[in-house]
Amino acid sequence: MRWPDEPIDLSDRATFERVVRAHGERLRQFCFRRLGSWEAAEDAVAATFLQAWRHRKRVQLTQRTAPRWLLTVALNESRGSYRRDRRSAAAEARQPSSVEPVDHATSIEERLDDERRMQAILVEVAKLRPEEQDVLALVVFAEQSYEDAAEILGVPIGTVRSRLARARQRLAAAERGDTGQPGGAR
Amino acid sequence: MSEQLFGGLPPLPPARPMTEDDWARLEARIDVAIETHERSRRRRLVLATAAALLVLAVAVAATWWHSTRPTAGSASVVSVACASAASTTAPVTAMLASDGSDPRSQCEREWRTVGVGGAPGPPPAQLVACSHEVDETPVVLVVPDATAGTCARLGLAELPADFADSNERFAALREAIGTFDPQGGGPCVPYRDVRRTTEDALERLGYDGWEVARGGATIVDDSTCVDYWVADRVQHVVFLYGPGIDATGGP
Repeated sequence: MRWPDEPIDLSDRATFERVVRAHGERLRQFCFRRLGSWEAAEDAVAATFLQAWRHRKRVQLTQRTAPRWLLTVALNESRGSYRRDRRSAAAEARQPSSVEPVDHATSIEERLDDERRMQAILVEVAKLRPEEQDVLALVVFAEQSYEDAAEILGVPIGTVRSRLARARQRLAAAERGDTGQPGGAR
Repeated sequence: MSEQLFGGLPPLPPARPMTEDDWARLEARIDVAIETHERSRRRRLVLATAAALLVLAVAVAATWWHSTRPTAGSASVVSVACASAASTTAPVTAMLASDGSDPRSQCEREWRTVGVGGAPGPPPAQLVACSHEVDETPVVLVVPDATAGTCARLGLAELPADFADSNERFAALREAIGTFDPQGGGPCVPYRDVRRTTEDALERLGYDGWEVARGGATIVDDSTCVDYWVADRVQHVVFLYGPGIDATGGP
């Protein structure tokens, strides 16, 4: 027996705010891992929920479909930003970020350290082909199953597996210091 | 799974639970994104409506205008449309709110500063302003042409004799009400003050029978900051809008 899947009316502001509270944290974490910056991540999450607001009458979300739909939008929103930012990712990885996430529970130092560590990872991830980056982001950063990643990307599950395998090989080659053409394998 | 894939890479930074500060910041960003989008949408809707009225006027009422046009268009001008060619089918490439000056001068400035149908540059040697009206909403169409009888050839009317006066009157109304930018750092001018100023200006400038009204639900109370206003020539109402999202669905 399955529980009924309830539709979500995003036109209702209270409902919209509940959806933000229900999914905002997970999306923020995902976007941070895509972008390596807390500020850019929050911008991408805001853009994601703006899309949800804009499409509230055309897209009928339910309790079950909302997480995947929002993640798909966040993937796209963070993709554009990531491409813009990755040119300077290497430089940023060596420098403190200008982000100002001030709060009492998590220190500024911890957050800056998060950013430095994430940007160092993203420098390596940037050597992958874009479609490999998307698969890696969904499976590793967002911890989605292969099946869910395949559905979000609209590709067969075998493609997800092969892209991940190629990504793993390419990252391992980079780790060994191979100078073969990045992105050459298909 | 991540350890396996990232065997040669550093581990991911730990997940950071969001604090109330984080939530407040994130929700504020979302609110700003939505409000900016909604404001932009409302403005596009106003311009799109004006453009649609223009197309309707040119395409449908041209013949009617040619034969039965009224002689005096005493209503004020809402929009000046600058077209890149003297044709009723040429795309209108700039739709401007009249500033009270000669519409041809306004379009000349548009040609120089922004460009009409192309890059900015010198305007055509001669621009012709024609008048038409849809549902009592006047629009001035400005087209390039160096020959006489352009408006008649397009099936449109010449500007009425009292055009300059009514245009200046509307510019005076526009100046009296003013412009607002409470979210862009401008001062908050509350609804109650703008309403009073607008009513005084309407009376002083001879807009008999006109009223001032709240624009949808964006004006919450008398102290709500006014964001912008729209003159509805059909209903003879000046609508005042606040910066919030109009839950009633539009301007």
